[in-house]
Formats: sequence, C-alpha cells, structure tokens
Amino acid sequence: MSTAPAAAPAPAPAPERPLPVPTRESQPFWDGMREGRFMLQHCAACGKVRHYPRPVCPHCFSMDSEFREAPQGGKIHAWTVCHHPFNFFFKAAAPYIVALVDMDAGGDVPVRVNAPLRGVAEADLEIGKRVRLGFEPVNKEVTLPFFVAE
Amino acid sequence: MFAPAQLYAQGARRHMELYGTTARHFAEVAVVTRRHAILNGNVVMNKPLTVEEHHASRMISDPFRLFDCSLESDGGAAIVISRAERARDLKNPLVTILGVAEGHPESPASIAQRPDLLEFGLVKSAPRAYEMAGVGPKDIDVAEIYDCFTFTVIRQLEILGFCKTGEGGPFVMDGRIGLGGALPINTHGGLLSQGHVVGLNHVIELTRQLRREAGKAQVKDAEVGLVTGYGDMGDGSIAILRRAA
Ligand SMILES: [Zn+2]
Repeated sequence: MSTAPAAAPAPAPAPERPLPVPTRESQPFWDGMREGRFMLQHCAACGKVRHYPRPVCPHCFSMDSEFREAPQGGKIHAWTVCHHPFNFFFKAAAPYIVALVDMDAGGDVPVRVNAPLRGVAEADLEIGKRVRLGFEPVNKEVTLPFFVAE
Repeated sequence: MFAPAQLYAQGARRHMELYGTTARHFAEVAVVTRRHAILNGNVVMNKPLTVEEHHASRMISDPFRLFDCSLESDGGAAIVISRAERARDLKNPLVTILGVAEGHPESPASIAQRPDLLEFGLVKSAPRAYEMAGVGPKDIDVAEIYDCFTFTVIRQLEILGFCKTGEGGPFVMDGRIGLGGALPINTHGGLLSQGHVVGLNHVIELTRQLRREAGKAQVKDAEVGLVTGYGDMGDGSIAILRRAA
C-alpha cells in the first residue's frame, strides 16, 4: 500500500522509528516475536488468556501467569488506513492499512492484535477476512508483527 | 497506531461495515455543527462548511477526514455548582441537575481488546442517569454530545436511546439534529467547530440553552437537556439538566 514519498525540499535528519520497550510482563511476548512465535499470557490460576501482557488477571486477580504458544491466524475485526503521519517516521509509508484482528487463540475472551496489513488492497478489506501473522526483525531486541492474507 | 483518530477510526469502520453508516452521515454531523458554530460566534471555525468540502478534506485515518476530527485548541471554561436553595437569590435563571452518571467500557485502557468496540462507557451510564433524572430520551429538548469525532456523535445518539443501534447514520439526516429539528445537538459548534475545551464548553452551552441565553442558536422553549462527556478512551459521563420553574 505504500506510495513513493514526495521529494523533500531540504534534507532533514531521518526520524527515528518508535519502538516498543519490552517490560517484565511483556518480555516473553517479544522473545516469541523474535523466534517467529506468537506467545500469549495465560492466568496460571483460572487459565484464561489475557492480551496485552499485564501483571494481574482481570478475571480472578491472580498474579501468577504463564506464556503459551498460540496459533498465528485470525479474522479481520476492523481496520483503518493511516494517511496522516502522527509520527514523522511513518510519513514515507503512508497510506498504510492497520488491521485489528481477532486471533484464533481467543475464545470467550477476545485476543486482538493491531498490526500493519501488507499485500492487501483497500478494496479487498472486509470484516472476517482471514489473515496470519508475519514477523519483521527491526533490531536485536525487537521483532514487530504484521499481517498478510492467509 | 498512536492517535485517537486512528484508534477510533477502527470502530467507525466497523459501524460502517455492520450497519451501512456512510461518510455522508459523518458529513452531516460536521456541517450541522459548523452551522451552529457560526450562530454562536465565539468559535474557532467560523466559515460555512459544505458536504462537498467535508468529502474533499484530506484523509487523516480512514474513514476519518480532516472535518471528522475535533479541534485541538486552547481555551478556558468554568461552571459554578451550588445547592439549589443557596442559588435561589442569584440573578440568573436556575438550571438544576436532574441526573448524572459515569461509566467505563470493558477493558478501559485498551480499545482494541474490548469485546464490543462500539460499547462506550455511556452504555453503562446513560440508563443510570435517565433513571436518576426520571426522564427518557423523548423528554430531551436539546443535547450537547461529546464530539471528538463525527462518528462518536452518531454512536452516542444510539446509545442514548434516540434511535436503535445501527440507525445513528440515518438519524442525523433530514435536519433532525439541527436547530428547529427534532433533536438539536451541539448548538454551540461542539469540539468539531467551537473548540476542544475538553467538553466543558458543552456543559456551559446546555446551561445557556436552558437559561434561554443562547442567542441565535437558542432552541425554542428548551426545558430539559442532556450533555455527555468522555474521559480517556471512551469513558462515558452524562448529565441531564432542567430549567428550574
Ligand atoms: Zn485468572
């Protein structure tokens, strides 16, 4: 979906890419991304999945949790096409699609991932469309997820 | 995904896909709100806006165009609240608070993980405020709806019971939400055209309407009005006010 950036009138320093900073809770998720695995936090007490990773279970308030590998497919729940670069780093990439995806791993508790959707035209977007995760290494620590059509 | 425009755009898109809501409906909210702003005069955006100009404005985060987004503005607003008996001898007509409530959506911190993207906190607070006030949607003469985006107005009108879920788009058409319509909304120009004074300007406008001090934007014989507000990402507050006898 990317288009060529317009020629800039004067060279400006390239904006830095904003990146997530793994926390104690989210480290296993980011470790998984690096290995091409989709790791989801589960409550060790009641077993319910919770995403994004956080210290306390919203269902039973237990603080014990474990990460399990989850399937990488899902269905589009909603999307937006980002045109205005709220961060200058994304100016060159705009317009780009960000899909909100209901991951197959979610049961009665939704597990949704928001990530760029690549290789799909805007006209082909629809709720329920099957997609799957891809993994883009950015540096030694961080690999970011994206989606492609399944 | 950094900005509210991007986060809310996904909910707006879902509403469009599920219910057939269109950019024409969004535009109607923007255009009517601008018309009201011009009547108010104390506003940031004081030039008329047409549906065509709305549709031609640049895309921010699809489906939101520039004129679907509220203004980031500096401004000040204040209200004074007192016990009714202490306020009796004030010069201005009294406006009494009939009902207030606030509600928080499931998964308050993350819009993306909400079981239903379209269930704002107002889903919980609106029934409580109506009950406390002893009135219903049919009793409301004027409504000031938190309009961070055109779409959020459409969805809140559904949640508030002015129409059913999915009918918010058609509801705003045909002059219904303009002055002289069945439910005039955002008679000051709202966050979309007056300015983003965090929604407190909506409380002030409703107070002026019920005091019959709204000038050219006055809703005739306004007796009972409703105002909604947000916090964070869709926390929903509501107040129902009445002009004191
Ligand atoms: Zn639990």
